[in-house]
Amino acid sequence: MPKKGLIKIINIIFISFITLSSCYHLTPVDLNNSAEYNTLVINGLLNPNDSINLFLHKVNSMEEIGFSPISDASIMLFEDNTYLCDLDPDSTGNYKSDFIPQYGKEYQIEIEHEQYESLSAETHLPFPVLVDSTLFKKNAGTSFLGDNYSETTIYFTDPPNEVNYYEIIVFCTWQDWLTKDVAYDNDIYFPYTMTDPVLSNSGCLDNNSNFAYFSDELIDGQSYSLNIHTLMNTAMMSSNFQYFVCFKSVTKEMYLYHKSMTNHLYHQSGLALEFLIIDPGNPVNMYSNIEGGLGIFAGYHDQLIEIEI
Amino acid sequence: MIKKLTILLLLIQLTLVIKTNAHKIYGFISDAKTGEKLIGAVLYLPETKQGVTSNAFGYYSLVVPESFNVHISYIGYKPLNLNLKINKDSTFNFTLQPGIAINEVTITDSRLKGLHKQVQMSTNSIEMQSIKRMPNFFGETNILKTYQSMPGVTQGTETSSALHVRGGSPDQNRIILDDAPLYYINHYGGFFSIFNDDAIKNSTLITGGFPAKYGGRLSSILDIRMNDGNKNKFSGNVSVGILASKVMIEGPVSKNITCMISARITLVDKFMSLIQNLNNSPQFGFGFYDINAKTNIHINQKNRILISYYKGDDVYFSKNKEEGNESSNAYNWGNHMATIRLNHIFSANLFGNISAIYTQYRFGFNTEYNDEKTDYETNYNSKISDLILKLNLDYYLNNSLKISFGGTLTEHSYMPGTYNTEYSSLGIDNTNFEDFSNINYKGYEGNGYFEIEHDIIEKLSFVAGIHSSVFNAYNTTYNSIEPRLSLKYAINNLSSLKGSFCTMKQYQHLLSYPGGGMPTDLWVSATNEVKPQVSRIAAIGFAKTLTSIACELSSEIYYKDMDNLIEYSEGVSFYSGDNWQNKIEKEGWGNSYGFELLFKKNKGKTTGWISYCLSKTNRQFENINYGNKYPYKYDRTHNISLVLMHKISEKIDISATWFYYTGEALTLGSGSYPTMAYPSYSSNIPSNPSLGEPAFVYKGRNSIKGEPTHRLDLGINYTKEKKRGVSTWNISVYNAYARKNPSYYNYITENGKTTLNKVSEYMFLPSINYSFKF
Repeated sequence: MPKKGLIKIINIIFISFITLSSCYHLTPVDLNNSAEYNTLVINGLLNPNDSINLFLHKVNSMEEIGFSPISDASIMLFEDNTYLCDLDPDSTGNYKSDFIPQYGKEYQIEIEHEQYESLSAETHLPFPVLVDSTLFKKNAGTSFLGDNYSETTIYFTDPPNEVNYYEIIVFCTWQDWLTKDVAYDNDIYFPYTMTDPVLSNSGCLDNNSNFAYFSDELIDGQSYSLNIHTLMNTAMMSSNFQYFVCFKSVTKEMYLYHKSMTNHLYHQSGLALEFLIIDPGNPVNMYSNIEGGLGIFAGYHDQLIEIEI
Repeated sequence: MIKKLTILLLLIQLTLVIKTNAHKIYGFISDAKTGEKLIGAVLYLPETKQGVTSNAFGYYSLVVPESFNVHISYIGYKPLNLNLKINKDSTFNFTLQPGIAINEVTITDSRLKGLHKQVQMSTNSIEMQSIKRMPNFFGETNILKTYQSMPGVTQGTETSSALHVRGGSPDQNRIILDDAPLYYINHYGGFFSIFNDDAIKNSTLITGGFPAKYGGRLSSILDIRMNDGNKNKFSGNVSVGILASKVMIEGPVSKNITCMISARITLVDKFMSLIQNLNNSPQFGFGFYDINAKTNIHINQKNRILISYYKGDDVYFSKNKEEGNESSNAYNWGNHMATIRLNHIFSANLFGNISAIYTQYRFGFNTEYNDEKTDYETNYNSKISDLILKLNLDYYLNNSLKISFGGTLTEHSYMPGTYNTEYSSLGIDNTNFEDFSNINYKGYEGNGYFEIEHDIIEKLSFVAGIHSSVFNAYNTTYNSIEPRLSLKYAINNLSSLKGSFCTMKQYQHLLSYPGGGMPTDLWVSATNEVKPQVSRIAAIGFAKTLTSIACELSSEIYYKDMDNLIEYSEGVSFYSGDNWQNKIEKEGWGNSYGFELLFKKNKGKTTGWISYCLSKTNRQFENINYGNKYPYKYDRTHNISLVLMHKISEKIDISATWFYYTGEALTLGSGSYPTMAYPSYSSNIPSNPSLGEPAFVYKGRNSIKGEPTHRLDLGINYTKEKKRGVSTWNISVYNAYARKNPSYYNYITENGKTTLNKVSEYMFLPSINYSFKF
């Protein structure tokens, strides 16, 4: 029998077997799990360089697509409990004011809407902690996946006797050789080979996070050198390559929000992940500091540093 | 007080023995054709209305007058009636002929052996003959799936073989193969159990009121015994199914030595490789094999050595070969077990068994990549292994008093997970990278037990015992004293009331993910930070034997609570590189309570059982679900099983099983809202704040009930005597009415609408199996 004919017969038998043994059928079901929520969501991050800018939405049922902005609410801004102004909405649920937040002040917001429960939240700008110096090592090691990674050491001094929270974001830019445009990659962070105890303590080395977040729980008042690993070997060959580290001082609320968000997005259920040979963890609800609702109202300071390579 | 009472009872019994000037007969009860020792065979003295059953090695000891009539019986065998005379303690090794006349229902047997007669509650034993007759799945019978039809046992996902006993998780079951504990019992991720039915003689599942000799697990004991090997002639069985094929050979190697060896292998991976090779496509597949072997050395009338061996492995692999490079991934997991046991008859009263045991479970994955410049290989391995020394002694004082005692020493070796990478590349220094993020360590466990089984008066019997243990790991020592008590009050000759109470302590924990029962689950021990699990189980019950229709009825109400449970912390995953002790929630609490009913017909043309369980199971952890109590994932309120087997003729028998159980408890999103996007940068200027991916709102852990599952499985066996043996064709249909049962759920967005979908995978799956017994 010619080889082609044999292959055909074997394929037919195999396909018949697979067809019989793996009938896969989808049926829409109603398990009474989807709920109509009378809950609003506020999202806003304050920094010392930008005016205040918040987003207001409602919680959707699972059947609703996209986000549902709320643009007819009243959002009042207070500074140290003194009324400052109302924020102006647009049709996308984006509420703005020209006011730029200041260090050392507490900011409160109150949201009123006739159909929803009232919301309130409070935050401040954290005092900035600045990077003392940095050190870059191009070939720092090889990962268990065989990748050569680079290491950036960030030296900074944590203020004593207060709890501080930080985030570090890394990215690089270069000139695309074909289009001559500026290209960028903000996905060069490589946590898998990082073993820093401060990062490990925060849990940010798990769950595929693409930036570092940590507290000073283990290093209060100390000068500390933190090692971040990156994968950017190909981009480094390009012209006009630049590598940046953004070092942020953040409020506790922002730290907890990003920490829970990393977990939450990685462990969402209903994604058929249970059939993977390696299971995800259990679903995690998101952290929120909004009284009466969901979302985040928090402050940060960022320092952008270009690293010499 | 208890001590004094015990001594008093012993003295009374001793006096009775001396006064009656009785003698003892003792020995083994075996299958006349194969010489296999029969476990649980009944010896009954009609004159005195007393009887005993043979133990796990087929041994019995019976006090008799000088002249007596003895009735010996065992399900599936022709009963034996003998008139004997003795003038001293004597050895009698009885043999029973297999095959009972269909209508031959012995009332005496039912009275003695029926569920109503057993003091031990919550115990179920399914004969291997029944297991083999039931409908199978892809041509393979599955002992574990059969036990899922018993009351109090629920299953996890549809195809899983995992047992969730009275609200317990699968790690709380002690699965014992010839006295060796096994840590992972599934092939193919749960489609099949690792137990090859050709090699198995007997199995018993205990879900409460545990005998004192058992310990170390909270929820159940599944005690499985392998065949000893045919004593009289070489025989065997060859079987070919859709997914697996197997062969078993047994026979006498010499006058005093018998052997049994059985091997099973799947051919699917080979078939898939063939197809993929012919098509020149990337290769992937699943495969497994297992080997069971046993040697039985009869040294003399008083000594016997049993050597048992098991090895089984599963592998999932993928390979890709492109121009200039090759890559591969492989996951493998399996058990390795060996035991050597010495049975010794010290006297007519005292039977002993000493065992040396090694058992190991391992899981690993391997990734390799090669091209002209680069070679790298990554390995991940986790392992648990035990070295065990065990002594069990049974002292038969008389027909109504038996004392069991003994102990076990165990060295546990834990390797919860290690990475190892080797890398080399031209132009770059060769690199070796090792990360032993979890430290290997050892744990030491010792336990002892003492148990009295006594018929105080004709109507009242009890089994009382104590199991005590000590465990050391991580420089921390734990100990326990676990009381065990079972009581039986005979209402009349055919019905009884029962009660039991026991505590259990478990020094091993399983770090398990929501899917449960996956090979990636890690076995770890109690440590200075993680306390051992504890359970308390109380049950009351009623049992009745209906001799007129050869049926048994048993019902029980139970309550179980559990302390010091562990769970992965919310959002922690297998990939988390931290020490396992930092990834878990500790000191959790759980409870389970329910009503169980079993109606069983053991004899006649039509046999089978109906079981029903109504139950509720909860869990509670300080940092899960805001500290609130929540349902266990496999909290199945109703669980019904119907098993029927009917012999149409000598050649044809048919079988049917029907299952119904409440859906599993799910954690599903019930609403969604926008998050603030991760800060991103496209140049040296931060981008404007924007919205990110949607977050889900979860009402609570396991707060949604999935759809119930029900299905009908059918099977037919056609058996034909041939010149050189007996051939059997089995045709089975899994899920005969193609019920769309949920395998899992997912959300799908199409045409602007998001819906929750039930994914069903196994509908109307026919299979065929051929076996030839010679």
